[in-house]
Amino acid sequence: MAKRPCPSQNPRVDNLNDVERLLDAFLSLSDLPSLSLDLSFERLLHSLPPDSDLIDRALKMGSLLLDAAKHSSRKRASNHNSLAWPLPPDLTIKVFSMLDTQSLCYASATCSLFSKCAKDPLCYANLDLTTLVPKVNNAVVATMIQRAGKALRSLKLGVVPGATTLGSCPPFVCTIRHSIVEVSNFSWNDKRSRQGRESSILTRCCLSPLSGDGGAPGALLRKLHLYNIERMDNASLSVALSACPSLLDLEIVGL
Amino acid sequence: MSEIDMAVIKPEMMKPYIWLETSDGSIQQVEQEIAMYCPLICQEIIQKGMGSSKNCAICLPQRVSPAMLSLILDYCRFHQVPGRSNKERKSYDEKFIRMETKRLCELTSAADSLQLKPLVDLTSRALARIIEGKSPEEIREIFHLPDDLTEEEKLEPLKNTTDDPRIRLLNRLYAKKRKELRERERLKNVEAEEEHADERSVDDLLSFINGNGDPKGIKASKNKKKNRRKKEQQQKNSSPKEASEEVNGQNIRHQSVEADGIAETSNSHTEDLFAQKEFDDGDDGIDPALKEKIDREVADFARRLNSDWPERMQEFLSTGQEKKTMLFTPNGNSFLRRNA
Repeated sequence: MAKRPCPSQNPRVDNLNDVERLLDAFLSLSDLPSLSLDLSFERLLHSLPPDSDLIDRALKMGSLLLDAAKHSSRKRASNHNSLAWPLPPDLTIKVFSMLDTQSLCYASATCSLFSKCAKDPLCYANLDLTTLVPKVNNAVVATMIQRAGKALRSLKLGVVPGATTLGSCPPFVCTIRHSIVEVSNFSWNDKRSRQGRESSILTRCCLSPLSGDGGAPGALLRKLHLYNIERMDNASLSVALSACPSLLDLEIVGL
Repeated sequence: MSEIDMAVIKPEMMKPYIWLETSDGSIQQVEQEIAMYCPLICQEIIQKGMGSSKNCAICLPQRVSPAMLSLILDYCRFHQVPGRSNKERKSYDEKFIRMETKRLCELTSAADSLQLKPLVDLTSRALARIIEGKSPEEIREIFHLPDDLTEEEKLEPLKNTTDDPRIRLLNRLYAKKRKELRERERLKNVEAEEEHADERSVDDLLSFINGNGDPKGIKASKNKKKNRRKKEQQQKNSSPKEASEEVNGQNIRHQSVEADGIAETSNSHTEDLFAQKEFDDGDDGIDPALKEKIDREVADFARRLNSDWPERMQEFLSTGQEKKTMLFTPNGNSFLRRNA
């Protein structure tokens, strides 16, 4: 946007309504080198009677403007991304399908373009949800299996001491756990272990999504590894296994 | 293909060079052997007889710039020689893909448009290796992709993709509510005194449900009971009474902004009410007045979900007190689940 000395001289604003013209005038203040908005605001405040609601109005308008600007900024970023990203979606999905589950989650949190591509079933063919300490729960497993649909080929689940896949990064689980547990201050490095235990435990129903959706996810599953899922019992396990007729590689530790 | 075509093409194929035109319009000569390694070019030559002269140069897809073409031809030049060992090829590949990330992306795209599958696989894997193990911010930096996700979208990367507009509206409303309640928490700290006075209404409700006639419900017991009920609900997955409510609750949890504590607590509150309704119906011990109260709460919540935001804001501000105490547990922690 070119700098304009005075908005009223600009023919562009002729087809805007009053509000938009005012907004334009206000925003062009940012070009002013001697701008000191806080001082001006104070002076205005003092010139008004003490019971004026100027402050509240400023808060409200400020926040509305900020929201609008953020929304437009996101749209601009989306546009930029769709032009700047050189790969067509199918190639992007192909690249994502080569990522491990943790990296996939990170990639999907990068931008909306990646997020959309990361939801493709092909990316979820090989799920590795093993963690060092109990952090993944049923809902996470369900979401992932549901996303995989009939593309699911291998599933690793449970607690593996010394699991190298998720290494020293609790943030992986943070991104997943956010879908279950609410967060007051969002932080990628926040330790989630202090959360209530019930929200991070895999129960015996954790494999029930395999039978869901007409058994589609379980039908082509080749590999199933379960590690130390304490609450698993024989009944649920056999239900899950019966939903997986193509199973070639089964490993169960610590049942 | 007719015989005449074949007769025409055969002598063309004896020529060692073919002509290729890249996206910028420049035309160059390339050894036919090498160019034929690309299936697309191969197709063009054999099926359409193109490329034999400058005039009928093969138009390469738009994604193939001259720079990319030269890279691809280098690749083809190396690999089309049959006598190389696998080890040689592998080490060449490793060295080949060492380039700037942007070029690697373009190369992947160009190779894909020429249908050169081995190169596509190679470059895709290289890109995957670049993305692996990086945080979102790092990924954004590497590929120069500005962030265009909202806070809520980032907090739920595994949201179920239900395109139900009601669910999306729910998400947006919850997000706004969360922001709002964060502010109120700030205010609450200032107005801590007032909470005690309002406690009673909620405690009345709960203590009645729990069977002790003590009007002065203890905060701790209220919390414990709520938590116990929550735990019970979670563990009784097979209980038919709760099955529908549990599923309902689970769905809501899945589909709404799950990271929203307020959403959780208001949901759980409704859930509690739902559940209690079920239980009490079975026991036949429910007081009609209490039932009315519960119905009112449920209707309130449903209305809140469906009404306009400004309206809700008004409501919220005016009826804030009662809701506040139910949504914020006294020990300052607004998340029921976290209570030990």
